Amino acid sequence: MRFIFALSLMLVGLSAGAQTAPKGPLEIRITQGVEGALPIAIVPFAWSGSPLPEDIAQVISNDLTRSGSFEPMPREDLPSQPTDVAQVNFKDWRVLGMDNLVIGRISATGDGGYLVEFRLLDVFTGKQIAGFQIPSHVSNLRLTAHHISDIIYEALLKTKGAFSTRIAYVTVERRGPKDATYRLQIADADGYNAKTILESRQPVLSPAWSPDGNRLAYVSFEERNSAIYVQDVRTGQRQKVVSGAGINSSPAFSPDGQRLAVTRSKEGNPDIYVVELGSGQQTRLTTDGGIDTEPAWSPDGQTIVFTSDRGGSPQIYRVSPAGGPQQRVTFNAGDYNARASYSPDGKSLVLVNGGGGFRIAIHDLETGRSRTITGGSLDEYPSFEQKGSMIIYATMGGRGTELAATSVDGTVKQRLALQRGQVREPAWGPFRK
Amino acid sequence: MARIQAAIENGFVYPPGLPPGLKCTLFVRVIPGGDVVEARVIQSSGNPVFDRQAETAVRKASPLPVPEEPRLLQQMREFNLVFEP
Repeated sequence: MRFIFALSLMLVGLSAGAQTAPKGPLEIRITQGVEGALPIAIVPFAWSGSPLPEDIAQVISNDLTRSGSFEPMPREDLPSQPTDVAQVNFKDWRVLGMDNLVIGRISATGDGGYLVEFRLLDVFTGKQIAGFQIPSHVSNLRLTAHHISDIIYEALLKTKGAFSTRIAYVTVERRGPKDATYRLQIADADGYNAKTILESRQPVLSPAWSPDGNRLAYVSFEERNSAIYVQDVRTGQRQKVVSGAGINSSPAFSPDGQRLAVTRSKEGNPDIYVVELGSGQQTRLTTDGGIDTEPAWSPDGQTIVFTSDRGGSPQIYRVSPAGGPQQRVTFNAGDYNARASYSPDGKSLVLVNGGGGFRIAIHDLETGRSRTITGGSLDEYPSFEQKGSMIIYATMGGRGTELAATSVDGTVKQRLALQRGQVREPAWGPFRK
Repeated sequence: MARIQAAIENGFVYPPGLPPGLKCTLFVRVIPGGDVVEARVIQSSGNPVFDRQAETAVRKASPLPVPEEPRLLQQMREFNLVFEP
């Protein structure tokens, strides 16, 4: 009885397979899903020997969590800790609903060198999605972990990861009412490995990355009046590019790295200028009597947006870098919109929206609509991460101002590693070459 | 059929930030008992992440709660799944 049943099933199966265009295939519709972080299990990497300075699997887990797109399994919940594909029992992970598994091993290659090997596995098909061996060094293990996060992110979400990028920001350490130290620092995107590139008793403001990631422009009051400098972060060499009477502030590199948009008030009130870095030639873009400041370039270099109060309250306007008419951009978004910068695809602006506190908002340039993505009472200085799905900003935390990162839809927020003193003005660097 | 829908919908997770209005169709083949032996995208949504999560959702729900009665089961051996959240 059973044999005949099985045989008839087989025959039906064969004939069904032979059809090239099944008539009216049974169709089931799936109309609901869960929009949320993808489950992933990251197992501690194998290593034998004296403790390594970094826990690579933990760095990867923190990176992926911070993006808002992944939910790594807590380490204490891992059912097993395989470090080789042969050791993986896929069923264990399927039962836990893990879509993906990351395993790896580290081996020493002598002289402080390491080889870090990892595999990203699809739990349900049992196949390897990605696997690499990355040469590293005791001084570079965090960067290797960030590279692995980038690879995993890109393999699963098909967009470039930004975990190996850097941020620049200023910290203020106050010891007395007239005794403060300002430090311009650069750090990894997760806040670690901070390096001071300028230390001063006078304020330092507005760091801005060059598109190639090799230079930072900033404002320094070291000569009592504000001046704009451009400094090579690798060599420390720097050049004063804008100085003179009045306010000199808000530098922003053009996408080709050849020009800076800046604010100068030498003609009486703050206006936007474009400075050619090679020749030093300056072109004035705004002439109205109000305050025009905080310029930012579009990714195609064709537009500069800036903050202006010419209409009575701060709003965002746009102008061509060659000069000409200026148009208002923000409407119906309240009485305070400032500090705009473009998303990498050029389709939206992230800005600070005010009115009963400050929050970060995203303004869609096509629809003209804004939406708030942070709920803090004092969130400022937003900067889009290079890929456009994360934003860093300064927020008021328990220990004063801190850096935080948020996913673009506002669902995941993470504090970055705390720095000494108050932190302000974060700027997200470009992808590392 | 509703039970199969529910089983798959439970496991269909997609990351935030995907464009709205995505739709893909999968061809699915099961053996008696409901084990999924084939789950293949026959019409892509154009978004590889969405497609992959749909495929993963089907495999995650395996074995599917297919009917035991042979004639009903027969109708369920192969079917298309249209993902349109």
